[in-house]
This record gives sequence, C-alpha cells and structure tokens, in this order.
Amino acid sequence: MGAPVRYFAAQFLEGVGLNVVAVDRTQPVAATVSLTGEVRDVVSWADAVLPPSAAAWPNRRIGVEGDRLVVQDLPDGKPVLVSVSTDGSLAATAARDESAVKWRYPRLLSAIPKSVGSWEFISRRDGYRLTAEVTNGGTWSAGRGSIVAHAVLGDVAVVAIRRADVRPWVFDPQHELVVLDGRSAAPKPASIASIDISDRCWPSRRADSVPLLRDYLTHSFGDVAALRQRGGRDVRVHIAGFGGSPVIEVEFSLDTAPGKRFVRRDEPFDELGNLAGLAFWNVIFDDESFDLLAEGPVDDQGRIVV
Amino acid sequence: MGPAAAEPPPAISSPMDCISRFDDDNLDYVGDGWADALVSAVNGISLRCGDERSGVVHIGHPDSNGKTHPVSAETQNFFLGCFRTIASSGRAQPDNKFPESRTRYEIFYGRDEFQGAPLTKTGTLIVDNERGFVYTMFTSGSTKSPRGNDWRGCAEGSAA
Repeated sequence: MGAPVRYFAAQFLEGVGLNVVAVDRTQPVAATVSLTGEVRDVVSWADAVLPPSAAAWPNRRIGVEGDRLVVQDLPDGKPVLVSVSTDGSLAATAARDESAVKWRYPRLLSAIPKSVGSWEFISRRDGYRLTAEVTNGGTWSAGRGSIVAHAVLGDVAVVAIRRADVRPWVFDPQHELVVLDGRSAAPKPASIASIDISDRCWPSRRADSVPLLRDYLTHSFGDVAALRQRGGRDVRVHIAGFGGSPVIEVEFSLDTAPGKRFVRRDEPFDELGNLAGLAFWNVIFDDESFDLLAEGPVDDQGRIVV
Repeated sequence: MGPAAAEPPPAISSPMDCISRFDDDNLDYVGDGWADALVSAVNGISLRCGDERSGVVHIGHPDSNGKTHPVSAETQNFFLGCFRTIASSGRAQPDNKFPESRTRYEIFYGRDEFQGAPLTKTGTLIVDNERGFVYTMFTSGSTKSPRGNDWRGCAEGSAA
C-alpha cells in the first residue's frame, strides 16, 4: 500500500488583488484561487526552509505586506515570503527577519473575525459535534465541521471548512475550500477542487521517530489508568504501524454502557514526524464526558470511536 | 521577532475577560499577548487566559479542544476560588501521564454516590512543571452538577 494522498488543507485565507491566497495548516504549500473557484497556482517551499522540529500551537502564523505573504512556522521557523502576481501565480523564497509585519494566528475550531461587512461565519458546538454556517442576508449551511478561515472580496467570500468534530479527535482533518457568491438571496456555494500536494510536502520523519514511542507510552498507560478509575473495563491496548506511522488503540467497555465497546485512536507523531498525539492536545480520559463520547461514530467493527 | 502589542492585557485579567477577548473580532488575541495574560497566581502556579489547549479558554470556552467546563459571570468567583483552593492546599503528585513534566494537584471536598456506588468529590489541576502554568482544571464526583464544573462546591469545600 502506498503513502496516503495528502490534500491541501487551508488554514489561512487572504485576499490579494483579485485572488485569494490560501496557506496550508502544516505543510509548506500555498495556493491561489480565483473568485470563480479555479485554482490558479500552487507553490511549495519544502526545499527552501526546514520543517519545524517540534509540535507547537499555534504552529504557524502569516503576515501580509502588499502583494506578499510572510509565513513562519512556530516556535522558531525561518520566515518565507510568498509573492503573488496579478494573474495569481506564486513564488516562495526564504526571507530575512520580518519583524514589522502584523501577524495573524490560526484558530483550531473557528475563525476570527466572526463577521466581515454583511457576512457572518458561524461555527456551532453541541457537545462534541460541530456544524458551520455562513450568512449574508440568507443562510448557507456548511454542514459538519467548523469554519477556520475566510476571505471576503466584494460580493464573494471564500471559506475553509475543517471537516471534523471535537471528538473523536482527528489528526489529519480534511479542509474543504468553498467559494460563496453573495449576490443571491442566500450565499451560493461552489466547491473548489481538492488539491493533491503529496509531492510538495516536507518528507515525514515518522519512521525515524518510532524509538520515541517508548516514552510516549507513559502517557498512554497513564491515561488507561485514568480510564479504569472512571469505570473502564476489559481494556485492551493495540499498537500497530511500526513501519513509520504508529497507532495506539485503546479499546474498552464501560460499566455505564453495557454491551458496547469503545475505541480511542492515538497517532503519537504528527505528519512531519514530531511527537504530538493526544498527549500534545491534552486529550485525556480524566476530563471527558462519556455520555457525549457515546454519541460518536461506529467503526467497521461495531466499536464507538471516541 | 515578536508580535506587535497593540492592546496588551491588564496585569490581572478575570476569567470572563479571557473568554470574551478570545471572541473579540477587533483583537489580535495571540499577537497582543492575551494567551499569556495572568488571571491568578498561587504558590508558583499561574492560571492564564491560555488558548484551545490550556488555561481558561481551554477549560471554559466552546472552542476548547476538550470538554468545555463552562465559566460564567455568576460562577467566575467560584472558579477562581476553586483554583486558589487546589493550588494552595491540593495534594501534589507527578501526573501519571506526564510524570517528568507535569504535576497533578487534587483536593477532596466531599462525598456523593451514584446508583449506590460511592463518589469522592475531587477538584483537579494539571500544571506544567517548567513554567508553572495550568493546562486544565476540572471537578469530578458530584452528581448534582454536570461533570467538570462544580466550581462552587470546589471553592467552598461543600456539596454543590
């Protein structure tokens, strides 16, 4: 089985001229989309700067200087200048210090500002479920997920929708780009084609990181202890993926939900190979609502994924 | 290189300041330093506004990446009282998930029961050892309030 395809996942959107520039949540990739939803160009700076050497949150920030964007990975990545031509073509180069720029930081499950002119970008939470909508006069329901970025140019808005709930935690959420025409009674959506960026990414160091798994298991087994204190029974821990993408599955039952099996899936390394996982995100059994977790999706083995 | 500080937070912020500033359309929450804004400090442990992963926003804002334990204008003094009680008199032990880097502080403030099984009402703080900031705070063991935010019971050491 080959490596999974990595699709572009916009975390930042900026209007530049008559185009919207989108920057990926993690990978060294930016794309321009037209106001009619065409992908004009895609650029990578994988060869220009090194990937971050540790997980961080916020993990990336951007600044805008006229027709250029500055992208910097945190905590201490080298800034990159992304130049945008009027036709939407892009060029990326490593930059010197860019201290004068006004930085913008990502939000995990929402976007700021929540409104621009007559446009409102709303992410709603109900327990661990997320839904999103955009209003501009009328309302467009964006369905499951949350709006993590938007850009408004005249009558058009472009939004990035993170297609994931709060639980189960998703390590590689899909981010869908949608263009919204605001000239109708309700925003009229047009999806932007997914962009395969598999050959523009930094190479993953996951395979080299596998020895660190031993330390990570301290977290996993500590969390199992908390689970047992809270009524977890018949707990089984499966570890797989030693070839480079380890996965730790904790499968269990609960006294309060007889006859049901639950599973929590943890990926200890992020897509770059840095130690992260549920430990980094502080997702722990001590601090969960099992009632809400029980509403999670069911996998092909009949287990509730939490 | 540092972010521009257009509107720095005050020396001490309230929990509700943190929640509302995180939602403020006109504020650069991270860039202006609100994530590090101090809410309370006791015994070398600092409760800060934080973000989706830690602090007041993680604990009480709907954009938290965890279960939200709501804080309101009506409960924020109890929320602070809970923090101060745990930080000043909680039993400290290495957090079993991060024994090298985090400390878990707990107070036991009462008893309850659920379907005949005894419950111990507990207030918990998880604290970063190196920088002393609070990752999260929650309560457990009370059947009379939703799991996680029995701030009054925790602050007063009595039944919620």
